Amino acid sequence: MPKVKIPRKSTSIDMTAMCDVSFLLLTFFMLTSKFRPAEAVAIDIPNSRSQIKLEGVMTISVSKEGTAFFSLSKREDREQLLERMLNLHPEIKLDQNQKKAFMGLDMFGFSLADMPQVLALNPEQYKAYQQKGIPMDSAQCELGEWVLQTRYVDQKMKVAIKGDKVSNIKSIKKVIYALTEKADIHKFNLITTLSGNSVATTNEPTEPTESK
Amino acid sequence: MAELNTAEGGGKKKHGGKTRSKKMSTKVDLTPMVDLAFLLITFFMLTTTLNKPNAMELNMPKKAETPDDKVRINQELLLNIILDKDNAVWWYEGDVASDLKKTVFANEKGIRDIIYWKQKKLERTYGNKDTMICIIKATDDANYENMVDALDEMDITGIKRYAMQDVQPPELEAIKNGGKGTVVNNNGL
Repeated sequence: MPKVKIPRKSTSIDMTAMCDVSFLLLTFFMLTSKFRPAEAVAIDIPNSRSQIKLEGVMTISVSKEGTAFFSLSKREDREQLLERMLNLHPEIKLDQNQKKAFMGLDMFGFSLADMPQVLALNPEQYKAYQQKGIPMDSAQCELGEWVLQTRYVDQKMKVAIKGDKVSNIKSIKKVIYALTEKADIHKFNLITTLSGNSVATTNEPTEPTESK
Repeated sequence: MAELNTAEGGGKKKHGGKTRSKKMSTKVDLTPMVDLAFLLITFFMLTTTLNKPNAMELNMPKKAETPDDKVRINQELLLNIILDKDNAVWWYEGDVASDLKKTVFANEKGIRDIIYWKQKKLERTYGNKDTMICIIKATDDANYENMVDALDEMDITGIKRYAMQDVQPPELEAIKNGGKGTVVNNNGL
């Protein structure tokens, strides 16, 4: 009886198609993803179990020391916002370079009075510059103005507050005051990270102590 | 690599006198390239999804302009939570800050148990635990994390009606006196 010969086949697979697909996906993700912009201050955000995702918002960041920073994600909006603020404050003059510098800022925390001087700094100097925060006292509430003017640029834009864990409640209250009283915004978001421990005990009411 | 040598290449040179240039295969092994591409895909996928921050919603009430705008509520439904320094939490029922008690943020034996206890109490009297109203106040010594924690408790315990308010002078006075001398730990609630 003759042996059945099994023809030897190559084990190499044509990888071209797979390569095509993977590079297509790679290109897609590269183009759609946005890198996190460099932050003016490091903020350690608190935990919560909330999972609402935010997109296209203006963010008011509050640092550990309680200084407020403002950031807008869209560059086009920033241009319009700056124009509006300059119309509102004609005493502040900016040249083309300074305007360009402002558009490049993802996050800023300086008063309007300091603005021309800070925007004239070159990138290295700007990095070293200690930003004092946007004034938000009830008498001179520039933060409220920024928020209100941003709302004029895009009426649907949501407001998010990004506070540090240890920042004092007083500064957060000031931000909330600026939003509710100056900009008439009564609905906003607090940026948090997802925490592990409180998720575990969801919907499991522990028997409360029943003595009083 | 993942390829077995099946072709009998070489060894033919000996017969002919001429040195023929060997025919090389035009196929390139794309496996490393695919590896790399998938690695990068994974990287970009993870960074894009993680970049969107989580957020919780907070609604602040509009200020009452006329006395008629003010809402009168049954004080039995009220639970006041006051955030103090060093992550301490004071709480009392109703609208008279006479008997404040101190507790902490914890999954058990903390403010959450007190909220559940109050909810049960209201469910017994009113048949609905959603009648409960929580008022969160913060002294100037509290930090932002306390506020987020308190709001998170509202979400965890499922309280529909809650508000943030400024802390009132009588409450500060009571806290200064240690809740009028009645600091009871949670075991003896």
